[in-house]
Amino acid sequence: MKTDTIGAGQAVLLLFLSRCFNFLNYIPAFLGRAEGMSILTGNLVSFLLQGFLLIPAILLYQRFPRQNVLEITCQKSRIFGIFLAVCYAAATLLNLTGSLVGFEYFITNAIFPKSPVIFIVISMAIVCILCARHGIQGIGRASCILAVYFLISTLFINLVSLKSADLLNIRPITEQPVASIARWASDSLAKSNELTLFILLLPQIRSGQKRTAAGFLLLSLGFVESMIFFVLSVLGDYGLIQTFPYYSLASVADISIFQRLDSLHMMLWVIVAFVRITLMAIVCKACLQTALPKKMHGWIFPFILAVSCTAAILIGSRPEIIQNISSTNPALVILLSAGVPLILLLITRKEVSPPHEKTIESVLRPTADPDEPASNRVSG
Amino acid sequence: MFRSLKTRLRAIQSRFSAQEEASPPPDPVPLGANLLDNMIHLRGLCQNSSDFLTRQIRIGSSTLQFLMMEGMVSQQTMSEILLEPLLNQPFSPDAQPGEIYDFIENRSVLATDMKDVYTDEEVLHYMMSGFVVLLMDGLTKGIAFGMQGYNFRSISEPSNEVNERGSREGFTEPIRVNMSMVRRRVKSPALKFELFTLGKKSKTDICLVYMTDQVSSRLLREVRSRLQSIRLDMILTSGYLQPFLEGKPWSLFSDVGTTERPDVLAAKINEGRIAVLVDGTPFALIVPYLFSENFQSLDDYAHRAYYASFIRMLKYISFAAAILLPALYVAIGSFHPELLPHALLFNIAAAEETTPFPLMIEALIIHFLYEIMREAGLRLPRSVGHAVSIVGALVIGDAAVTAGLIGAPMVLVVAATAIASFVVPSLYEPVSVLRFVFIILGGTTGLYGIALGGLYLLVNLCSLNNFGAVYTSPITPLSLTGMRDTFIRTSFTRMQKKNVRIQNLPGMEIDNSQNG
Repeated sequence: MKTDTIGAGQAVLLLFLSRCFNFLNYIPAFLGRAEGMSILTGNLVSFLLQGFLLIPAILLYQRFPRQNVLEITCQKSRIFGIFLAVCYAAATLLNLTGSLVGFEYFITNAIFPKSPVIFIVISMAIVCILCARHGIQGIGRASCILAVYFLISTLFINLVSLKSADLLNIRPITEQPVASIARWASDSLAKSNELTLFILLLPQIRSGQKRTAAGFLLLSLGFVESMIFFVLSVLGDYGLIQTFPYYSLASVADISIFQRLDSLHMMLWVIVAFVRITLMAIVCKACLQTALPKKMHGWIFPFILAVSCTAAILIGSRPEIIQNISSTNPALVILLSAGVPLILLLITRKEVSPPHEKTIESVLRPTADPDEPASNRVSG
Repeated sequence: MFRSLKTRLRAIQSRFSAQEEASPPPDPVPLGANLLDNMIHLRGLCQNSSDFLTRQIRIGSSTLQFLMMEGMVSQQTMSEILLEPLLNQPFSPDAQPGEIYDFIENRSVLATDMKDVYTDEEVLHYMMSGFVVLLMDGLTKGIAFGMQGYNFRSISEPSNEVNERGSREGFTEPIRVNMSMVRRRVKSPALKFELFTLGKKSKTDICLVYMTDQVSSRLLREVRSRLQSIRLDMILTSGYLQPFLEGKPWSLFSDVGTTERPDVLAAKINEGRIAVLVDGTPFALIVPYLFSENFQSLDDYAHRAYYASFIRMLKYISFAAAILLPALYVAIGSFHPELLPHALLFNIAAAEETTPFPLMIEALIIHFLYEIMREAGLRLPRSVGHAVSIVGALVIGDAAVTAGLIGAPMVLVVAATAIASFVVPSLYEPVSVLRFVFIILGGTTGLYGIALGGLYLLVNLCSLNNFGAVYTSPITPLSLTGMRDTFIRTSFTRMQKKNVRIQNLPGMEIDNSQNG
């Protein structure tokens, strides 16, 4: 029985805020020129695919309630379980480092160009790890308040910039529609590391796992599509050549007493990066706990801090490394979020459902009295 | 490295605890049949203290010894209610102690509060609580009569929880007076007082107050267990118990509430909470306590709902302003001037042009001076305190600006912050410390630092979970029923539809079973 659990709503908001980081960190210049409609359609396709990718994990969870893929694998083979735990931990640590680099790249490019990389990386990583030490409940509860702030702020920025919107800026797809949509769908899928987080967090969600998946995907889809729509309609092609399009949108927005809203936007960045990095640190720790002996558990957070900070500082000036790893490899996301659960589903296909799961037959069948002689029991 | 340090600390700790256990308190000695021996033993235990008073009378052939502590007993009550009826009772000339004991115990009402005592420890405990203890020659037990007559501060208006339309009664020092004030407000058999003593030397009376039909049995067990784990010699105020009841004693925010109003206590225990009264303290502790309760006051329920809601929102905004306003001013002024309209920016720049210090140093100095003056004004006699305030206001408000040490906008910010911090007095401690922290964060790293600090603070707040009660409930985890009385206060017609119990809020790990 897991004690450190969160509600379905909290899980949805945690994953949603983590996904929002990807949107804010989105650098379209890496993918070249594109039409607005292909980006919007590509995202829609990507989210549909994500929904399909989560099916094996949910089916597996129904077969083994309150266990994640690592625990199920460990039951089958301890060695393979440890190997898988290390793989998941490495993938999470890679994403965590990527998020740190992305965040640092934004701050040092857009907000404080003269600030040292090392300061941004270490300050953010330390705060996230300190908060991760409180467990998932703390960040889960905080995510509700942060999500409200985030949504109100983005709505505020969008409404303020609405006066500059022009629907003609969203250009229809003119050439190679399938290839263009596939490229954007693949890119969006490659950035969906939350799928991996979701399958690892499954046992820690108190109830409504299917609702959590659906809620996360729908909320993220709605948010990302609307934000892309706003960015493209206000900035047009100018947005696609900007390093951080949504930041550019916030920079041009002004309202009464506020001359510019880019500082407000920076707060949004800090919030989503914080949630994402903290969540990943918690998940990474859980993976490493499965792989490492108990006496080493106390060193996991310092290890995560040291590795992620060192890597982030080393590649701080070359974020395209992380960008390339994550954006061109949807295979990793597919393997970790759908491949492993599917394999486990196939391996365990002959195993019966746990006895506490009620079926119509089990409810209707009278319970056998253990003291009653076997001869008296009705067979069949 | 940390592990070995921990092991060493544990070893030192266990050595100290072993030393402590080496000299356990003496076991209670049962009273003997010989009165003289009992008296010599009890006087010896009290080191022949000057306030140890005895009065011996004879009834028939029996010797009766009354024991009391000077100043603790009402002499008038004692002679009118106890001695006079006893002496006027027509006992036979050869009345035996057993006969007199039977009369007192079963056929008279000499005092409403009577207890049998069997050991020296019980005798001394009751004597020191203002009881008169009667010992008789030939009996191995005595009787304690509750005749407290010590002087205490009369019931007066609470100084820290002032309200406009509610009761003017606040708790006072004697625990029994406080218990009676609660009982007068809750005339229900479900209200239960549980008295016991804590403190190896002070033997302070502690009272758990709860409603048996509302409280969770698990919560009650946990509170009892934590209180019983206290090994302090002296318990002089409720503050001694507070760290033992807190989930994370090192956290900036306390998850144990305090009140000096019996009506507030009554409302809290009706929601399934437990109050702890401590003899000698006019403040009751309340557990579990939620963050949102810091913003509630009794007046909220006396005003109309719309105005109460307005005041509630004002309190939340004031709390945020008290922590963040100077930090935001420093951060925006130093790092993000683009946020401000040009006209305002020019005014601020002009005011700060003449000052020698950066904004952060200015803010730190002025807040530091303000805290010094506040502390001085609080501890000094009231008349001198006013003088300190006037000097402070003149020095900071006028002279410092005229001398060009501090900009006028900064004075405005400090004044607004100081006033805002008094809107929620129960959170003054964390607010005053956090204000400094955020000024430093804002002055060194701008809005980025403030955002990071704010997030860390938020997660810390959300992680507090004392007695299975989430500190940030009902805001997160969200409870719509609980939110009826959080940011806004809905009407009583709506609130009466469902009684909120602490264990029914979402995320609570307190079971729903009630104490029978």
